Amino acid sequence: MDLFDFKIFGFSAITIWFIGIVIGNIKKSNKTILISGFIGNILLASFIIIYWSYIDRPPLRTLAETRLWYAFFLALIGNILFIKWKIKWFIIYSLTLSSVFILINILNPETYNKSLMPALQSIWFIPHVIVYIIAYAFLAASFIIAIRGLINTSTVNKYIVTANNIVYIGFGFLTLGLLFGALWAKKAWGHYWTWDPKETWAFITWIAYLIYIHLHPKLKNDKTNLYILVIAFVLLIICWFGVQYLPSAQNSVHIYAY
Amino acid sequence: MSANKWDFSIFRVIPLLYKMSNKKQIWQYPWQFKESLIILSTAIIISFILDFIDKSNTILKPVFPYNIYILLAIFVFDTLIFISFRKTNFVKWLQSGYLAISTIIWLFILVIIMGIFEQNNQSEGLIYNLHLNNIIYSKSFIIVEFALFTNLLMVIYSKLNEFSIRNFSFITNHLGILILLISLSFGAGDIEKYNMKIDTQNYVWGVSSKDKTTELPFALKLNNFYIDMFPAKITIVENKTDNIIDDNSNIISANKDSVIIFNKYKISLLKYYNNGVFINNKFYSVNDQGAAPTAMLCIKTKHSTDTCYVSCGSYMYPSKVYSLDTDYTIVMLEPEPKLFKSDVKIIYKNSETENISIEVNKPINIYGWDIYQTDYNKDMGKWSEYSIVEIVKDPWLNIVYIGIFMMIIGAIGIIFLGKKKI
Repeated sequence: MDLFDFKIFGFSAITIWFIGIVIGNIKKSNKTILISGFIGNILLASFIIIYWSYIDRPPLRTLAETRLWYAFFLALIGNILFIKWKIKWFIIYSLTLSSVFILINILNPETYNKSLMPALQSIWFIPHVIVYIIAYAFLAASFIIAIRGLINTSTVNKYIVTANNIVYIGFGFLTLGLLFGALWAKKAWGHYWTWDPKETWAFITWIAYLIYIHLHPKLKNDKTNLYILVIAFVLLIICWFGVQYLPSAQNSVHIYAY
Repeated sequence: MSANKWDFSIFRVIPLLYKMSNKKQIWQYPWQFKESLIILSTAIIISFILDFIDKSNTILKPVFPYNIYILLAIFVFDTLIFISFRKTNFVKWLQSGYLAISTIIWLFILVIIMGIFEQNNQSEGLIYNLHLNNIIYSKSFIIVEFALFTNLLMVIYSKLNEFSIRNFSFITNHLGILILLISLSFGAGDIEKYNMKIDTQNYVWGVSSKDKTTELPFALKLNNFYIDMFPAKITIVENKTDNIIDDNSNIISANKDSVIIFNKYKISLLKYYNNGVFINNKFYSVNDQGAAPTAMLCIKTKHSTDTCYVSCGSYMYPSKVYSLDTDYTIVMLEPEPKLFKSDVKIIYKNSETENISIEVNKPINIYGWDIYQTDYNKDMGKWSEYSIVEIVKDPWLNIVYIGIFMMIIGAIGIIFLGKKKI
């Protein structure tokens, strides 16, 4: 099996979502959107399972693989929040963003085939990465809501309340990811925290959300809340994809992930 | 409102907070964001000036027992202040969210600097003078740590008298961070970390770094270094650019029945040898010193069928490639390690010996020393004649684990309890 199969799964998911959203909008049927959302999710999940059994290692190592999981969780969170809060624009945004990540993977296939180096063969590998991806997916959701709230200035309040609920969940997972990483680092490299550039940027991301959590009770319903969420998510993206380009990262131990 | 809805005044956080506490005169209690930011920023700017004047760039890393003395002194001092003045506005400020936010913002700024400039390198000029290449040992970082310490301790004290699930989550989070902060700042000086190169010839008793030599209560000798490689991958290189043709379908890995179909060629794997040598251009599948992974391939076109060998070579033998045509060549890539470990013999002071193996991700612990497999002679690969292990002693480790454990509980609390309804 090679990438050709992912093209089938990926394009099918995107197409089903697209058709679901279009028909759902025309017929004013939320159910259609939701069903298409879940079918796409099942397709991605099936691909992950098949791919996992094919490569004989957890598919969590490369950036492309993290994007794959991310697309999956983002769509899943979109679907679940849709059931919970019935926010239609949100499921559309999360399915669109998920499609973007699928497309990036279809267009940049080369990072798929990599074997697992000894330092990554650990029981911490799966919890560490999955927890991070879940955190990233929740925080992306808060980012989408923040952007929407900034455009729609009349009802800022509503967006801040929604974003808040999601940020706390995302921040909890982000903290777990950081801590699992520390525990793993102790086993693999001898120290739980070495200020490796990837660690430093993960910490920066964490502090950015920490600022948000401490600041928003003081800011109450001010729009600044939403700006902070946007900045924090930009920092998260730098941590995820941008660290390798920084001068500080030339000796990073996380270099395998790039 | 709508005119400036996209004004992107991202930096209005600080003016806004300023405004928030602006209803009263400055320095009039209760102190809020304005006062917190002025006090903290003044302290940090002074510490930057001090760092700039102090050309020696001394690293402030107290070791046992001085770190304990300093920690206790600060702890007792803070506690006494809390007990004596707990009803005052000053202590209320010390435990306030305003001080927390100011401190976290400064922590954020310092860590951003750390994330941009490479740390611990030999910089010159302003970066060096301001300690920007060594932030965690700069005076400004110590100010932030001190402010965090005091703020966290005070807020924990103030929350101790009321019990609820939400409060429990709050305390585990904040106490966990406080414990981690203490062990990272005060414990750093007590960590001993050395690289030890071991071989099959002699026992190594002591370890040394730049400034210190330590005798260990045991000695190590390498019995056998073992390395297991992933099967090497076979792929196609464009001669003109020397680049691998970047597509997954152009890679054969030995454990799969994969086939490369490239231009008019169909390339398949006939047999994969983990070890082999070429003598006078003839292949022998033997496991001698320097033997290298080798593959026998079948290359088919419409009109012809050919077999060939490719090998990635080793430190003793050159690699072997196969020219498809003038533009493309089949090569074997260097195999990646799957597992490496050292079977070592340990001898203790009382002459008792023990055989044990040290593997990546599976360190061993002897008398409080953690021993990690880290490196070997990469040029020689599986024929490496030595192994490098890292030997670490961190007396604060259990305290760190307590902190991490509390924060895990706290994080689960955040996920399930979420935001307090206001």
